[in-house]
Order: sequence, then structure tokens, then C-alpha cells
Amino acid sequence: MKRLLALLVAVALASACNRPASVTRDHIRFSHSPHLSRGLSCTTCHANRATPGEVVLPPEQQCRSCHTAPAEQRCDFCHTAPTAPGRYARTNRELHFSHARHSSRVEGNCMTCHGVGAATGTVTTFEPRVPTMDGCASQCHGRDMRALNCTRCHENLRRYSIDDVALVRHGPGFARHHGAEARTMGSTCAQCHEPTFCSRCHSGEPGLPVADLDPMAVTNHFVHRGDFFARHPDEARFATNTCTRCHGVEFCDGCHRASGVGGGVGPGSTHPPGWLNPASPNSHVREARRNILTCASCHESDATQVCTPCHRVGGVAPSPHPPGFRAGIDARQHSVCTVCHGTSP
Amino acid sequence: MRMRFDVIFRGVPRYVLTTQENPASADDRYWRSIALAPLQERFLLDGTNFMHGHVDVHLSAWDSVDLTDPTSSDGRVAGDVAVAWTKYHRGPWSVWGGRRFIPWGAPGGVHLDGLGVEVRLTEGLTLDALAGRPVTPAYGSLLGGHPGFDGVTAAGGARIGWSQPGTFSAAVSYLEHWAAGIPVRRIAEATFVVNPTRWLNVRGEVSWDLLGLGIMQADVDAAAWVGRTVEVDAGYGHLDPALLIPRWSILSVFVTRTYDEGRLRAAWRILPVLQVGAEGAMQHYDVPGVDASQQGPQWGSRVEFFVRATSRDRRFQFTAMASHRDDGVHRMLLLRTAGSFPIWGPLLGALEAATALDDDDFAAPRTSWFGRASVEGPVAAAWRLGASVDGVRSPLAASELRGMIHLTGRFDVRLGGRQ
Repeated sequence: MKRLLALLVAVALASACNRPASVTRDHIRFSHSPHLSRGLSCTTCHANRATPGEVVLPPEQQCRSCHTAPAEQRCDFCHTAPTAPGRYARTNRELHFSHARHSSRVEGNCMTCHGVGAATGTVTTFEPRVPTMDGCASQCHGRDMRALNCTRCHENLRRYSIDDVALVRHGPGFARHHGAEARTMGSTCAQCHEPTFCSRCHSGEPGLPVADLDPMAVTNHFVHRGDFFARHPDEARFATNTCTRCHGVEFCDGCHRASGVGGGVGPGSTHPPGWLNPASPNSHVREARRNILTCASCHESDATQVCTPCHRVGGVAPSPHPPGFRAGIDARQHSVCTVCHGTSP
Repeated sequence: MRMRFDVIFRGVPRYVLTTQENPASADDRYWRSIALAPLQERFLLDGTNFMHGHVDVHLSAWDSVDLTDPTSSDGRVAGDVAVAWTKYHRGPWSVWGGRRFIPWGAPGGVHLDGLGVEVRLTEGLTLDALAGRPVTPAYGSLLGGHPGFDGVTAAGGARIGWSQPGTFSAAVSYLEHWAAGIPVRRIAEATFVVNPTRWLNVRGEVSWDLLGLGIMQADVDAAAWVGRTVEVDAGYGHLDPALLIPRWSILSVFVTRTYDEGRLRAAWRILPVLQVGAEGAMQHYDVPGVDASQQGPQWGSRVEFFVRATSRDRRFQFTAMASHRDDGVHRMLLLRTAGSFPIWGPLLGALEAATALDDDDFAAPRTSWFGRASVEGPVAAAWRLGASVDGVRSPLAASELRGMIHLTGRFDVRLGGRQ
């Protein structure tokens, strides 16, 4: 009984496998090589009469104009499923592409692009290929690939994985020097990044650091990970130019004022003992000369009250201006000057 | 149209330097710790090619509600619109309006409420012009600070750029910034990126202060690729800090030293998923016109080594870095390692650890350490839920614990055929 059941199941399966599908997907039998071996050129079939220079896939009547034998007029001569004929399989590659512009550059030699990677020894075996990106790069577009100038050809990159692009282009240290590229050719960035991507960092939202928005992206070689807050005063000392690439001094002043940092002298203050004594190794004079941005990070707004009483003309402290100082504004009119110099500097 | 929505709830201490008068009528200063539990929300939206393909819209906004703030006089609710602008583009012309971050014009870019126009004059040649009111994003009282200057300001500028794709791109710009009734910045800027060969990329930017007649900031980098796996990058940077301070602050006219840096970096992608590298830099400090004996240490250095590994599907990630910094006065060693990995199915975990050690005294207050453990996984279509716990030692706190829960939704919505 079991053997009979197994036999029935096997027969049922076999019959199911052999049964023709109710809908067979059609495709069009075609080979370039027999056509080329008869001396036809590419444009014999692919010429676009409406737009000279552009190409088309030939319509059926164009095929029938040559294939006049009765056997060749049958639908199944080309169609694998003549009862449900389809069109050429078309793929929207989302490209900005013009055959007309390319054909003039390759002097009408379609093989320049379509022969890449194909067997070109004899026309009897030749089948042209749709160019790949490597093919484009090896022929003409190497610099575009190197510069990630993708939108020269691609409408967008949404169907591609960003990983390969990011790994090649965004090497270590990219976060530090991406500014020049963003300023000069921001459209390159915009190929992958939406404009709000910049605002994740550049709008200065300390409550929502990138490390908190994407805690799994631990390899982002980005300076503001979770440990940064604890050591940011030292980072500002060691590599001031790194901070100022992105942050204006007002960025520091706002937070420091809210935290009460920057006031007072002596124990419990952010200023060490001897701060006001020019002879002390902890003198504010030395720190101000080392980096005035450190002062500005707390006193940008209230320097008039903090610095002017001593450094004004006639005050106990010397002029703070550097040698050869040039104000660049009319000193007699503006409060920035008159606060120390009076109205007649 | 793409949207992202984040909700973050965290418990975190904040420190405020507080002054209190003592019985001797002197000021006592101490760091007051305030426990905060802000609920923060953030929304991003990028919509392109609306209205027959001519209109783009971009929005980034956040708000924060502090559920525990005991000093409600500072406010429990904060929020701001970081970016909100729309652009109409037709042919070579486009016009935009709203709040936008502009990457050119000044070191660090310009963030402003305003209007602008962009014109593609010929293939590769573009002209931009803008005018508006510079803005500094508002932070929420105890969650952050307010900008140092809130007076009426205005800025305007223009840029012309030429881009020969893959070969040469350059732009020059001029930006003028007024505040408190005076011009506080007049900046001319030039940037370029050039690829003279397939293996060499040179990029640079320089910003001139036309008020003080000096170079505010300059950077030049040349990156060379050896094969497809090794990148060598040499760079030079210059900074004049005083010129970065806008003229409305008198600190902008104080003497300070300039800063020059030369750096060399090499990175080798040993495998497609593994990269190692090193960087060395020397800094020189100088106060023009002041005797060297009165300037203090004039040299500093930075040395750094790193390794990064990322699996193809990015589910495994690892990084480690060691860096030593020396500014002639202080020396610091920074060590950091982090990794993320699948825990079970779609559930991901991450571990981070970092320490910054004062070379002269490992127990010094400036020594800090940080550790974080995170877990994250999908909870519904397009939504992910995660949590983190941080342990921290900072110059202000011998030890502290923080917690965070975050919920993120990402949506890619297609409206019509061209979205």
C-alpha cells in the first residue's frame, strides 16, 4: 500500500512538473552575429528616424521587411510564447545618456562601448554588450568615477548600496576635510546626501549628537562621540583649527554662559590662581596670547566689561592690539573702538 | 520624499558653576549637579521634485521637553528649526527661501534666514547669491546655551564656481556680515578641488578677512592613491584666531598667536573590509611682532594610529584608535575602541570605551574615561528602538551614569512618478 501511495505521489509530481505553465513568459529570440555576418551595420536596424544620431530597438515591421520567407513570418520564429507575445525586455537604468553625443565622440564606432568585454575576434561570435560602469570608466569616464561625479550619468543612486561608495571615498579623516569638497562641488555630495544631512552636525544641536542618533555606527570616524564632551577643552587647545572649521566662537560662548563657566578668579573658578598677575605663570596674558578663542569661548559677549576696565586707553594694562594692528572700521564711529578710546581715538 | 523621526529620552546630569556668597561676604564657587530627563524629538524631511518636478522642500526641526527640570524659570521646553527651506528650480535657474545652512562664505559656513538665487550660466559655471539674517540655533536653556549675540544682523554675498567634472572645480565667494551697525566680517574665500591624475586629489580653501587684511583660515590637502588600497594625504593648515571673532566683540582686536600645522596621513585598506592607518602632525605657534621669549612654547604635535573594520553588510563594525597630542604645555593620550555586532537575529549591540589620559599625571582631573553599551532592533516596519547606558568620568565628575532610550522611524515615500 505504501509503495502504491509513493508511486501515486511520484506520478503526480512528475505530471505537475511536465505540465506547461498556464502563462509562459515570452522573450524574443535574437542573435546579433548572424546579422552582422551578412554585412549589416548597427544602424541598419537601430537607426532612429525621428531623432538622428539616437538609436532605437527596431520595431517588428522592420524585422519583417527582411524576414519575408513564410517560415520567418510566423510569430514563433522570434517569440518563444507567440500566444502571449511581449515586447523587448526594457530596463530603466535611470541614466542621463545620449547615444547621439557618444556616437560622434567614438566616430560612429559602436564597438568602442558595446565591444567591451565581448568576443570581438569574429562577427560570427560577436554579441554586443550593454556597457558596465567599469567599461565606461576604462574608456572615458575614469576621472568621473574617481571624483564620484556620478550624476554626470546617473539620475540618482538610490538603487545602489551606499556602502561601496562610502568605503572608497570616505576614508579616515574625511570628516575633517570634507569642507573643501562641499564648498566647491556640493552637487557631488548631494548625489547621496539630502541637504538636511548637513544640518545634523552643522546646525549645532548639542542635545542630539550624531553618536546618539546612530549609536550603532561606531566606526564613524567622527570627533563627537560620547566621550568628546569630557575632553573638549583639551581638544580645543590641541587642535584649534579643527574646531573652527565648523564652529564659530559664538557656539562656545552660548553654552559656557548657561553653565556659569568663565567667571571669577581663584578656587572653584575656571581661572587658576595668579590669573590677574602678569608675572604669574598662570597669567591671563599668556593664555590670551596662546589662543584668544579660549577667552572668546566665554567672554565674547562680555569682554567689554571684563577686559576694558584695564585695557582701555589710560588703563593699568597695556594696549592689547597686535603690532601693526589695522582696525578695518572707522574707529571714531563705532562702539567697539570708542569703548576704550573714547570718541577721539 | 524621505522622512526621519527620532524620539530620545535620556537621564543625564548637567553641571552648572554656581556662585554663592559665604558668611565672609566672599563668593564660594562650586559645581552644582542637576539631574535632567529631557524628552527630545527630531524630524527631518526631504522632498524633491514636487509640482511637476520644480519644487524641493527640506525641513529639520527639533524640540525638547525636560520632565525633571527643577528650575522651571529657565524653561522646560526648548526647540528650534534647524533647516526649513524650499527651492523652485526651472532650467538653469533656481530660487530658494527659508532657513538654510550654506557651506560657503565663511569658515564653518553660514546659517541664515534668507533668500537666494542660483544660476547655471553655462555647463559647469554657476553663480550663487544670497542675503538674509544669520542665525545661531537656539539651544534649550539648561540643555545648552543661547547665542552670544542676539542683535540685529544681516549678511549677503555671492559665489561663482566652475566645475569641470572629475578634473577641476573651483569657487570664489564674497560675504559681508553686519551687526550692531558696523561691518563685522568681510570675507573673501577661494576653494578648489583638482584631480590632475586618476590617483591624485588636491583640495584647498582659504578665507581672507578684508577688514583686518589677513588670512583667517587656510587648508590645503593633497591625497594620493597608491593602487586602490593605499591613500597618502599631506596637508597644511593656517589659522589666525583673532580674525575669526566678529568685530562686534572687542576680543577681535586683541593680540594672539597664529597657528600653522603640517600633517601627513597614510591609510591602507588591507582587505575590502579592513583598514589601518596613521597620522602625524606638527604645529607651530607664533605671535607676529612679539619676541619669541615671551611667547611660550612654539611647537606642538599630534600622532595617531587607527584600525577600522566593517563587514559588507555593516552588521559587524570595529574601530580602535590611539592618539597623542602635545601643545607644548599639556600632553594627552587618547585611546578609543568600539564595536557593533548582531546579538540575535535583527537585534544589534554596540560597545564603546574611551579614555583620555594626562601624560604628566594619570590621576589629574583632566583625565577622563567613557564607556557605553547599546542595543537596538526593529520594533515595526521602518521603526527601530534602542537603549544605551553610559558610564563617565570627566573633569567635573568622579563618576556618573547616563541612560538613553531612542526610537527612530525612517520613511521613504514616493508621491507620483518623479519623487
